[in-house]
Amino acid sequence: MKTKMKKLLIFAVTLTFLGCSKTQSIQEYYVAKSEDPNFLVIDIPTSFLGINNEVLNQEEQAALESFQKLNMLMFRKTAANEAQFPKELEKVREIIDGEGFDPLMVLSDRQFSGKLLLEGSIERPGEIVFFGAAADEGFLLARLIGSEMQVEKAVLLAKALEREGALDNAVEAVAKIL
Amino acid sequence: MIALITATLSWGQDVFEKYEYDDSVSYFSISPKMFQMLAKLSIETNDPEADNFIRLVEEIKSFKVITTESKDISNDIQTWVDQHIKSQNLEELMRVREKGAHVNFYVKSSKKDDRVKKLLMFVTDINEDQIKLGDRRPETVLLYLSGDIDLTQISKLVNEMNLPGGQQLGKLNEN
Repeated sequence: MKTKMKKLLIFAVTLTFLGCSKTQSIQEYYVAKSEDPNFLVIDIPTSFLGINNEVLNQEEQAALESFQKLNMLMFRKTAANEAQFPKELEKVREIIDGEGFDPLMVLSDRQFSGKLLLEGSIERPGEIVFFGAAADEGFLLARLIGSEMQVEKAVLLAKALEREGALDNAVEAVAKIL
Repeated sequence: MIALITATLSWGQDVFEKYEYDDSVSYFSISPKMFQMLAKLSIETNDPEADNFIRLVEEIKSFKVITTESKDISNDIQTWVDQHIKSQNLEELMRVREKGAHVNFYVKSSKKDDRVKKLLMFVTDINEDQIKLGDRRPETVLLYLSGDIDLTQISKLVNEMNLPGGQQLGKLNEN
């Protein structure tokens, strides 16, 4: 009886551990790859949009605040890192196909594959992930991170951002980095 | 224990996900969560045709298409379709032969007349340039839809995608 309990306990602990490490691993992958010269990492907080909070109404402000940042990780395939490409591809797929994420849309072909995923509830997701890979080019892993993102306000927010010319600001800011 | 886990995993996996990363397959799917999210966005257009399409989309829960030019995978898809028809009690809606291709429609009916809960469209032996997806010439196409679906709307969708059988599906409902 005791050994049975012990086994069960070990099993439960393993499960809990697995559960935690899964949601962590995409972040760990980001951190690990930010030091790899084959990767390009770009972090864009939504404050980059250069929106003056005063011009937004309360609803728009709350929606904007729920989206915190956009994280992008790019792997550009070259003759030198060709061998690394399939390995990295497999690693990312392992992470995003794991239990933390629900697929929203999948497109997969010989040349190109794209996947849109969500972490958290549909009403208030914590993270929306896009992973796109082109066989000849490399891949892009983009994460839109927020806290209880107000997805249904996305259209409203997009209109507000357009009104305030936020996209131009963002493009300018990114251009400065690059 | 491991055997048990592997067994449950492969059992839960359908033929679409099985070949997701296979090189001789093209795969496209929209999950129920995506449809729920789209419905929440409540996108409005001024185009009646687009509005119709959005309404159709809101009735769909799940959408999957797989196409392949591989004989082996085609056979495996056939096996899956046969099993799925049995286990889900699907009825054959109709069979069409168009330009050499066999098109089979299977549905799970809903209580409402012209609506279905599930639609499987299985196309085999495509040997002409009927469908072109980039540089590929698929031989087999399997389309899976679930939700509360209006068949007349689906025929429009199938036509739009240039898949065979769409016109017949539309006619079926006029009767």
